[in-house]
Amino acid sequence: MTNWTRRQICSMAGGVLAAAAAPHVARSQNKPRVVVIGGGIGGATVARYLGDLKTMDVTLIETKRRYVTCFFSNLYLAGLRSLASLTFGFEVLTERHGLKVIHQAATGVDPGTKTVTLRDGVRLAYDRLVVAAGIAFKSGEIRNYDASAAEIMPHAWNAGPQSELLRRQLESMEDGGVFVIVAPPDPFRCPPAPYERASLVAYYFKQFKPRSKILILDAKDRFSGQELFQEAWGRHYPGMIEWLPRQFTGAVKIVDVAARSVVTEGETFKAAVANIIPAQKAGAIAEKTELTDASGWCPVDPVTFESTLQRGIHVVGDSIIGGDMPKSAFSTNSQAKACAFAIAASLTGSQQFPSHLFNSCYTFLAPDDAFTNAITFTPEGGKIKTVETFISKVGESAEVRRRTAHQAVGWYSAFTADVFGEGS
Amino acid sequence: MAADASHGAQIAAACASCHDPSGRGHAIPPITSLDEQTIIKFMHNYRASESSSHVMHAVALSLSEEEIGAVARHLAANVRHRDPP
Amino acid sequence: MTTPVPRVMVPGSVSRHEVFPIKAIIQHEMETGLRTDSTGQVIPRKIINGFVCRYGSVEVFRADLHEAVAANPFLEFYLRATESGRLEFIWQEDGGAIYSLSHEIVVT
Ligand SMILES: Cc1cc2nc3c(=O)[nH]c(=O)nc-3n(C[C@H](O)[C@H](O)[C@H](O)COP(=O)(O)OP(=O)(O)OC[C@H]3O[C@@H](n4cnc5c(N)ncnc54)[C@H](O)[C@@H]3O)c2cc1C
Repeated sequence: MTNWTRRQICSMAGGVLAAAAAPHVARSQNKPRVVVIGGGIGGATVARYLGDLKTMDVTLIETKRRYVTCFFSNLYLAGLRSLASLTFGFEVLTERHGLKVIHQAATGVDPGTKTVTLRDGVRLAYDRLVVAAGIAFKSGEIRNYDASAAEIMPHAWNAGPQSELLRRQLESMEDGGVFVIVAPPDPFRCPPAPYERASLVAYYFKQFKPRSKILILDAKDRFSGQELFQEAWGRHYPGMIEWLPRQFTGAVKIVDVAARSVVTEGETFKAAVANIIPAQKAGAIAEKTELTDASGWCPVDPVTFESTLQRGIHVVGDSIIGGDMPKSAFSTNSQAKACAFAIAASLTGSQQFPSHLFNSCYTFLAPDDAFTNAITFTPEGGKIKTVETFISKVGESAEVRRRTAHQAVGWYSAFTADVFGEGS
Repeated sequence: MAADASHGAQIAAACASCHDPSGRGHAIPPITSLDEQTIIKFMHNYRASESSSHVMHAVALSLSEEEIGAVARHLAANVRHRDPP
Repeated sequence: MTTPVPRVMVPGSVSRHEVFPIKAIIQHEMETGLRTDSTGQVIPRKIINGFVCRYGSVEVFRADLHEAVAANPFLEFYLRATESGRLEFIWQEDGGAIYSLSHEIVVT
């Protein structure tokens, strides 16, 4: 206790001018204040782990009252999970994990006065800020693809209404139609997910619309888990899924919303249903707060996840760059814990031990055929470096794959309880 | 998980990404009612072989003896019973 | 068993003497020849081992393909336009199967 009190006095002394500039920012408690922007996987995890320590005053800012997980949303598209089963509220976090949630958009951050402004004009002071705002889409890479085009050609790369729209379109599509998936360039949220989506939609087509086809127009020449996917496509969905690399098509340049077609360098492809997954960058508030570099992503210290561009602000999750970790919920959750213990160490004087960063994703090829990877990472030379990678192999027995699919379901319930609180 | 920032608690936070904290779940075995020596033994077995779980093999390889001891002590000291309904 | 899907990308029309690109790709179920089935038998290799392009009756491009190229080999090459005519593309698979595609090109 004495330890953080001393640190607290230092930070207050340094903040006198700031306090004068923001007179109506009340300081109700003498615990150090942490504000977290974004209550998705990264933000909820940081807030929950900080809240549990009970030594800090933790406020989570999240626009939405209900969060729908992207992971497992491809199962929803295939009719294998309800959207309700993928939806979480914030009640357990507030009731059991000692934090406050405000359902508002954060509209601005002033790193000088250490305040966050909310949509309704309220300002919140922080000693440490965490930004976990997920992704935004780069505009202009595919001509005509904007927010209104996404109402007709959904991206479904944030789960919720976009997933529902895509599901409705797949359901009303006639047998024999072509479902076009436009896959994004690296780096992007969840590298195997476009191909998992193709696999599970193929599973749905095979049962209900067996003459339909899936065409993946990729902005890349290779993709994550390629061998595992292509082997499984031949086995489960022969002739149904076609993947065209960038080197063949020159990538998608234009969408024609009215005609529901997509145009590559040399050809126009007509779609019955089109799923356009655009190129990505860090969430908008990260860019506005100048946490992003020229790449559009946020560089961070790999031990504390403090921004290398703005002191006192930490960034976790899909928004960050600077290492080998893929943009996944698992990676995000792992970063968030390291970040929480680093913040606790600096604000309350607890010790931070060497962090261990992990990623382990389950990917479905069919409802009873899933593969998994496990990767360990370590901070090294200012970056996050892969230590070891283990991944399922082509040719594993059906029994092993069935067990992996079963484990995926167990993982989902444990993982979401970890993020959104026990009992959720 | 117990709310502290001890060495064991910081490592155990990683366990909670897959193992249900309430001890439910069967696809991924619960780890909330094991004693210290059992956990250490499991971790050594996982480290030695990839065959039973490559996730646990990766985790076990990444932890030092001291870290395995710390997390085992933490988990065993926080044995949990299921919340009453 | 699934029918492989060959695809080519060729301009519809080109001017005489122009050098134009052709891209060709085929999706098929590749077998490396290194895997065994559940009874321990080696599954025979099945890769695309050759590709030929004919312009009219003349062979203008040929490639022999080997293991470790790609499951779905992609080829890009250039031809010079001489006269309007038929381009024919032929893929050869281990085991003797042949897949082909043709394309009319207009030279102006
Ligand atoms: C189809 C699909 C499948 C996937 N499958 C897997 C999988 O199997 N395994 C896996 O590990 N990962 C998977 N992922 C990836 C995973 O969903 C993401 O990596 C993860 O959600 C990233 O967490 P985050 O906290 O960075 O962002 P998010 O979870 O997107 O959270 C960001 C939150 O911030 C809020 N926010 C943003 N700006 C503001 C603001 N200004 N004010 C207030 N709130 C704000 C948003 O509303 C949002 O709730 C998948 C993704 C997709 C698209």
